[in-house]
Amino acid sequence: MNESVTRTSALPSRVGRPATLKGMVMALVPLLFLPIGADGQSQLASEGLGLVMEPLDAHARGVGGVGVGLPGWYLQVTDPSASAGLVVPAITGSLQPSAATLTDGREVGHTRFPSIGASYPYGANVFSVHFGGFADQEFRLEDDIVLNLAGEPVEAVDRFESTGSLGQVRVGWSRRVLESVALGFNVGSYVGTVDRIFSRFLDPEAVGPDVEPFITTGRWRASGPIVGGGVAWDPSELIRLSASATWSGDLKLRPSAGGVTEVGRYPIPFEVRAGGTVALLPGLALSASLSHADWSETGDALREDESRGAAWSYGAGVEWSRPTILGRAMPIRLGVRQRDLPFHFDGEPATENMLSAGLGYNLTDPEAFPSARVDFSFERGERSAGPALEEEFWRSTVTVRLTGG
Amino acid sequence: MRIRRRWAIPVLGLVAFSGCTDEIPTSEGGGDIPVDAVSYELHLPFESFGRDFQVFGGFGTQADLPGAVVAHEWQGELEARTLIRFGGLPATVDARPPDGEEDETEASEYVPVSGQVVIRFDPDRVEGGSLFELEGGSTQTDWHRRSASWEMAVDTIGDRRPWPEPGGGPVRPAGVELWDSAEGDSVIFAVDSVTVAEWEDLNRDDRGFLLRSLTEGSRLHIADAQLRVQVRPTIDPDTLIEVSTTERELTFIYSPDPPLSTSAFQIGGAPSRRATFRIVLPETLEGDEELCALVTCPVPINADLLVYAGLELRTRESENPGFQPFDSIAVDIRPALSPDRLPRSPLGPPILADAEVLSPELFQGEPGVVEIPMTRYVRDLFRGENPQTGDPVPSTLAILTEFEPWDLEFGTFQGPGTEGAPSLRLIFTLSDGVRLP
Repeated sequence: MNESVTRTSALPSRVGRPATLKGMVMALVPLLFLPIGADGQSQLASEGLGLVMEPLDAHARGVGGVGVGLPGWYLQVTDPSASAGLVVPAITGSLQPSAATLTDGREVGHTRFPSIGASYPYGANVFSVHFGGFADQEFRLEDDIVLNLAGEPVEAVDRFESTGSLGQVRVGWSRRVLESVALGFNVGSYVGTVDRIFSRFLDPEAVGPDVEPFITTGRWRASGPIVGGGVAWDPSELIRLSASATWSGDLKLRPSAGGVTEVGRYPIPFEVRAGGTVALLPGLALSASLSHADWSETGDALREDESRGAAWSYGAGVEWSRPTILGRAMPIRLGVRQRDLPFHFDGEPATENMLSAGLGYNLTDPEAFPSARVDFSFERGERSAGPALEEEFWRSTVTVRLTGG
Repeated sequence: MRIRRRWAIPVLGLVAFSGCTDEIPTSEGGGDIPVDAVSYELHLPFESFGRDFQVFGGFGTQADLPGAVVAHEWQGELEARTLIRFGGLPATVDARPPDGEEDETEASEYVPVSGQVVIRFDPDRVEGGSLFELEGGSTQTDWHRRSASWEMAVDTIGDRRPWPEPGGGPVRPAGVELWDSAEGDSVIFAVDSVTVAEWEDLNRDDRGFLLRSLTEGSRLHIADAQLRVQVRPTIDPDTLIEVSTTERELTFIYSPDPPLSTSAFQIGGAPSRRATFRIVLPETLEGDEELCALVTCPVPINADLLVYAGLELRTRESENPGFQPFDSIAVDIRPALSPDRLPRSPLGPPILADAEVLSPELFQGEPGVVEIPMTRYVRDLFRGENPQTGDPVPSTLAILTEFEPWDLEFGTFQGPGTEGAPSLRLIFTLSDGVRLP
């Protein structure tokens, strides 16, 4: 349960209002200067539409979740109904440093900012806005080649670099239609840009000291509608069940710079998620969830069909909420998850497996207003695709949630 | 305040995390780079890009060079004689007065007794043996240092006077001296007091010393010259004191004066020669089978496709062997800013970051190829403007030495219409561009 969020609703909304807003903004200022999904993280970024990212927070990752069915009320773009119980304004943001050891032993690292959101209750309705990642397309390919120029061999280096990232922005509405049932919907669009640069460097010793690199570039801007909906049901105080679905129109990549004229249009599959949490013992809860999407049509639209078709993701975990430090709850989480990645690597289906651990902590006294909470998760896993790909990675996620009146 | 301090903890944590280094996964493409590109080299013959070829001369004079030359039948043709004009001697000398103490001196006028002209050669630029017969004498004709030539003693606007005899006219002989380059770097000519007295009159335009070589096949480079004079002070006529000039002017006159070429690039000489031409770049590229398999031929070309451009010049021996480069020549290329005012058009800054230094061997025997890189200039020419300044790019180029004049000799390159005419080496890279997945 997100106790800190729900309990603060009992406090007078006027307490410290000016300081609250200022503090919330100040706390998130550093996040605004961080790159949003702008960093490479896997060789899989070069396949299909890239490495599909999930805009999950540290709580969901800590228990191996796919983004639905966690207890309490919170902002999660994959679970539109989960914000229905937020009775005070809230903002949340996540930061995600990670590192991976690639197949050939090289190590890469990156920091990204997978999601940021804000909600504002108005009467029984809760309105929200969410920015989140969608696909990471950061990668670089290099080839050492030998050209034949006027009959003479000339060494050269070809470099292809893709930068930028695709994301999504959604505005949502949610409401508790019954004491135990909440509904939520959101609508939005894909956003972001993709930059692709090809460079060829001829050997100046072979050609001449004045040789310049050949560079050709292209930039595309993403768009495309997204509609999501979800329902949360608490059949008892011990159980939370949720489901959500996301429909996307075609992801359109329109040229915006670099002289390219090609327009990309990629169907994005209908995605469903379902999950739930059950309290096994006082302070101990078990969560499980899964998702499904069929990427076959997306593959048909790619230059080379690299999709694996149906992609499942499922995971489970436990949360032990009894531990405290300085009198404040510090839930501890463990989880396991497997994710089918939607695009093949070198013709082989790719899968991501990971173990996760996490914890949460209230940074303010339960009765303090505003409320600040931080969740942290650490994932250790591997991505594999036949013999061609074997990456090990770790990924940490820090999520800060601030609520105030 | 308490709440704010506690919020600082996660904020600082996030800031710390944000300092992580981001690295993009880089893989060997293994042929998977999703761009088809082809690099294509072509050599445009001069007729395809060069227009309005011309050679101009007359930039600077040999008097601007730091030294001078004497030569006699060098390479069977070159005659060169050096003219020296010395500065004034000191007006007085320090001498002991008749009734003065032993170490007491005072300024005294003096009377020249005799003099010596000391010529110092550059030992690294001595050609034609080691023993040379040199003849000197004082000039008897008015001459002008900056305009004097083999035929003309004065050649300025409105004042053209030839030598009574080509090559410096008659001289009052100062004798013939033998100089052995193995024994020293200088030769000394004695001059009498009358000559010294004449040279002391700085208003006389006929004063000067003419040096010539009598040794066939010789070519000597003079580094410096000095006049030393023995004088008697008027207050102490029993004493001889030596004084010397602190200033001197050098120039040289030579024959023949090779004509400006109409068919070959001539770069250098004194006065200096330049070659100019206008570049007209093609708009399309006729590709070969490989290129046309990738793109539709003919291919429109532009600055972005050009990765290298170099002007290829082919050296050749001079028609005047006496003017073959004797030392390295530093060649530069500069745009002519007002081509319609050639040869006096102002020139723009050098296109090359460093002048191309060409060794003299390139101009001897088998022709050599000299490639002058000029990628950025040609790119700008394709664009039509300088991307930094937005100024139009002059299409007329002057090929010249880094400093004018550089030396007496000049480099010769094959010109338009000849085998080995200049060509423009261009390397383009063409691709179908980046694409989406």
